Amino acid sequence: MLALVVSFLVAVYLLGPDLVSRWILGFVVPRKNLVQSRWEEFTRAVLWAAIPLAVAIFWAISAGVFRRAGHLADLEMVFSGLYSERYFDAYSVDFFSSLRAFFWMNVSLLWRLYILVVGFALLLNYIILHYNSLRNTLKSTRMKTLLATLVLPRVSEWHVLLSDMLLPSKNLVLSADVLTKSNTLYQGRVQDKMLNSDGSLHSITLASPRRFLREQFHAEQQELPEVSSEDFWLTIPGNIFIIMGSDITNLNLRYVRENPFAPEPSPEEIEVLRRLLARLTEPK
Amino acid sequence: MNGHDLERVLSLIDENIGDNQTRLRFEIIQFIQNHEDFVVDQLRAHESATIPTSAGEITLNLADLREAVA
Repeated sequence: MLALVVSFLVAVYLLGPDLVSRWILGFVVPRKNLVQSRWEEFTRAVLWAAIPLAVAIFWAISAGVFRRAGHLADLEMVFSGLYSERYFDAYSVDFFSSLRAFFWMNVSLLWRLYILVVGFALLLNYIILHYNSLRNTLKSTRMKTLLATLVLPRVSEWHVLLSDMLLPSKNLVLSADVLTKSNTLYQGRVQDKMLNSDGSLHSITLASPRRFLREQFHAEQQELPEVSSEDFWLTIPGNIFIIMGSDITNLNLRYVRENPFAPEPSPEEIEVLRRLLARLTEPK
Repeated sequence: MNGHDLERVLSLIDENIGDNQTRLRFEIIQFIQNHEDFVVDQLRAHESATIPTSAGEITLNLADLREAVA
């Protein structure tokens, strides 16, 4: 019976907060489910729960909840009664009285603990959603590294690379050149990606996909060395082109501004653009 | 990936944005200079022009161009 109660307490005090925080963080970022041993899982859960638990205990003590609910003697009575049947038989009336105090002490501690965990996870979600503006306010690289360590410790690397969540501006699009194992080169805008439970890349979805006609290009290049590679991209009809992660040999990612002349073009560029705009006013 | 690695990736993304913008601007300006009539026709017809670049086709909006030279 004692083992059962201790297991239950470990679950609600250590594993529960870890599960709740994982669930809430999962709304904002796909987390990487590391394959860990039970001992590693337990250690991580203890570390995650230790701070909010310490704060919850301090909160409950300051509010005088423990004093009102029961005493240390109640805890001793409950654990002794659970440990020894003879002790339980001898003090069964006191045991149940202490059990009630024990229950309310735990309830008052647990709701504080879970409020802190939920509050902390929501705060972390908010920081992740506003990560870039927060990061840009920090000047020192050490502070930026500290922020990344605290806020994004278990985010999948692919999510960092392939999502727009951490980009400095929402006016950026992500373009990718994808070389597959069959030696075919595709290009397009990254529309979406799917990750496996361990955080690895399952598939990538490209919008406006194109395929490079490598053989034709090389054949043409033999005859005309100055031929432009741009003329050898074949547009693939459709807007959802999925490439499986297992087929990808390498990826070249490019973060491109939707308006390439923002924020400020050079004087030479302005001159070319002015001439272009001036031609628009001329009669056809 | 630890915090240090993540921060390194984010710094690389920042550099990547800057490098790409420089390259794309160069490619776009070169295309405009070499195919001015084509770009003018597109802008007249659709108030936008599609420019082929190494990062795929980039759409230039007339309003954005006017804003850039303003």
